[in-house]
Amino acid sequence: MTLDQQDTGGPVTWGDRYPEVAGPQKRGLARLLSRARLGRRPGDGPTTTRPQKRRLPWLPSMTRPGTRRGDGPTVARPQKRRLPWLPSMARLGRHLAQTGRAETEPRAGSAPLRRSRLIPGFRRAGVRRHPLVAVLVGIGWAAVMQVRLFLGGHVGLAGFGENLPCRLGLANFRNPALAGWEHVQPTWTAHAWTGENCPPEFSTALLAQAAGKWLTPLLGYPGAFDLRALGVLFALLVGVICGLLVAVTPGRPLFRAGFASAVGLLYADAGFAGYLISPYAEPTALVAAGFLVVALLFLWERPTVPRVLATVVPALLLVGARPEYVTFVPVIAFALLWVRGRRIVALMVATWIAGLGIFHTVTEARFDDHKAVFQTILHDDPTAAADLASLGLDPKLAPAAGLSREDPAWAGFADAYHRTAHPSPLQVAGFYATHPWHAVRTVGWGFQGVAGLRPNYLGSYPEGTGRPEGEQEHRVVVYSTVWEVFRKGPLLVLVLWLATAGAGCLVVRRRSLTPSEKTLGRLAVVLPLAALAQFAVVVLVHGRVETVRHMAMTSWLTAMCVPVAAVAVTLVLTRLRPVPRWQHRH
Amino acid sequence: MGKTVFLWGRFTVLLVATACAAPAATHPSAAMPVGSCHVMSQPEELYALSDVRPPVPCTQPHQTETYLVTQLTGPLADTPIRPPHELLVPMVTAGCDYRPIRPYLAAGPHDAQWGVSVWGRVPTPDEWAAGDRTLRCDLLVPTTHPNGGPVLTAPLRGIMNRPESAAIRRCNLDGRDVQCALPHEWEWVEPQGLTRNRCRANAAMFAGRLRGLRIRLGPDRSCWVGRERHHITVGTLREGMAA
Repeated sequence: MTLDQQDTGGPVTWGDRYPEVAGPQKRGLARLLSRARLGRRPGDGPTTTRPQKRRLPWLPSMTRPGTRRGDGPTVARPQKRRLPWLPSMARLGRHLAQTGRAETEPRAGSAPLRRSRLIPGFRRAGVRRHPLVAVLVGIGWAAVMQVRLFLGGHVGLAGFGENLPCRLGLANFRNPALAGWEHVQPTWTAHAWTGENCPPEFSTALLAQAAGKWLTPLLGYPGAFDLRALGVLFALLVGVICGLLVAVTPGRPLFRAGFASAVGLLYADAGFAGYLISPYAEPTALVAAGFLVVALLFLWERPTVPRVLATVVPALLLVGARPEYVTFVPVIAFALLWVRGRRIVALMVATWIAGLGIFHTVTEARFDDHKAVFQTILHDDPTAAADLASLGLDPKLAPAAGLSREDPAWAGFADAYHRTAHPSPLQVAGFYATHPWHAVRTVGWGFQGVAGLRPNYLGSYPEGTGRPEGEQEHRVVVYSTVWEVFRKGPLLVLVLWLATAGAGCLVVRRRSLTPSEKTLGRLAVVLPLAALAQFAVVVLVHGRVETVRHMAMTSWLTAMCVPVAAVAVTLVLTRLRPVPRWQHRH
Repeated sequence: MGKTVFLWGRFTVLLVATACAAPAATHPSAAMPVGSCHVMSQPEELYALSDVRPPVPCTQPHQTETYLVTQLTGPLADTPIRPPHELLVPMVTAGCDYRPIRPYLAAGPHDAQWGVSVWGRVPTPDEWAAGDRTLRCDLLVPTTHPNGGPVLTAPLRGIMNRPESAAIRRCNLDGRDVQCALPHEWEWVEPQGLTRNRCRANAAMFAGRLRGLRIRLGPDRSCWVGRERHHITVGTLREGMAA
């Protein structure tokens, strides 16, 4: 096996690090085809050894009834009878599992043992899943999320101006005297919308809301759709994410549980938990992003077709949630193609995701240059007239700099603005490229948006609980407390991204680490990339208008960098010297 | 695996199919006649530029009633694409003439409508692109309940001649303006800026009597009429409509 094969996450043996059998290695598609003919999977081990041929022909079949054909012989009772001094196979299996040697080493003079499920404690891919720990952690975090959201009265996030569920024939049942930002209004009733009152907006969040609509009567909530049903669903899914993270994360059970809990704590934090009971598209995207992290770790561990396909659903849910999330398309494509072996399938999946992303951008993105130009670039801009001319707009509109559409003073400029040409996102990006000072200013507002973590004007409590309008909850504030550092120095967000990506690169390049451990390094590289791409699009499209809310996904990705960077740094610092493969713990 | 994927796909399709609402029937903007009543129970519907929901009978709960249908004119009306909200608002304000309102309500010289506002409706972007420039001017009734939206179950055309006009008459309770359909002590009589004697004469003409009634001049010389002291009532004192 070569180092390339190590990167696929396949079982690695001592002989792989220090090859004893050097045979011609095929690469790419030819390698895949040759393995397909042999009926083997990539990563199953060196192709130069055919255990069946080396098997002693006179040995009876030792495949137990019910096992799959091709799993190969096991060395069971007959050998035990013939060679009583050999350790029992159960003990051998435990030994193999403890030493992490997924396959026995093809040493000279000894018949190689093929992997088999007949040996207790043996794992096919050499990676232990710790199902009991995974289930316990999953159930635990699902319960924590339910308690965190509902104990002492439910909390959420006020859906100010958000009417996405109208696509499901629903209307928010709320006090008309309220503007919408004051309280969480969880109940939605059936309503027949007509015309442009409910814009034809597509979002994969509608799938989650449809599930919530289906769950609402089952859970006994009033109305046709209750956001609390959505909260129950998302809280359970967060538990599933945490449980799966335990299964796909390398390391000892305690380490896995700790990493999964760090992610669970992220969902439970006041900065993000409110979204789970809100009509926004963000909760679907945040939960889908969690599943995508699990799927990518699973894929990088050992790239197979089912694992590549497992990334499709969360990726599509994530990309399709909001037009801005089209930035995930190149990042996911990069992550999918960062595997050895299954690039054809990965390319196909990447193409699907790219298609959905492009469709979403073309049909949904409504670039409002007023926000990007008048409320961002021209905000407190002493050279407004010149900048308007640079953007191809009428310099006479300079006195309208900084005005919102709702400002009465804007009415005097509305006609001239309507009749002038409007810059495209690319033109605005070009403006930033040629006016670096403006770019620095806007990026600064963007970092302030990430440092804000959650919009401070949206209430968390329902009406009638005696809470003041717009009051926010602080039930779990671990990440929110850490974020105080970023509020004092927003540029530290950039430092965190760079540190995470740098640590990830070191983990990926370090040969002393196992392929499973390297998956966390890849995650540490991909997360800052995704955060940066999302940050750039939000800054370009929304500028300094509601930046904190639009940066929700960027903030989540940044917060994910904290535990991932901690793990990556730990791996780098604790594995300074190469460790023999047989001492690795998966 | 293929079967599992198929089953999940089928479940998803069923979920979406059952959750998604069938598209509601629409009615062209140009086909809304004067006197038609419209349901706009959601704030999003009230603040939208267009309304193509089919009208309802005015005896059913509704929010607005059309009192004028006209055409948008001017340079902006010539644009093939519907102008944005901030440009349409001045056009609608100028196009919805307020003068037909009082005759539409059958308001006399001493009848003051209160809480009724004008809401204009323009064609949808598609209708605009097809050349439709119809401007529909609606009257929005005031909110009856402090925690509820505006709603009325009677036609506004000629309402001042009917007891239901209490919903759009101005009354007062403990210094706070309310609809006369809600509990109140005083009722406003048009016009204002009068002397006490003139107010007494107008109140007599308004109520058709003065026996058992009191009058009061407000700080702004407005004229108010009420029953005996601290008598809280519901409805209007207008002649022929008092309970």
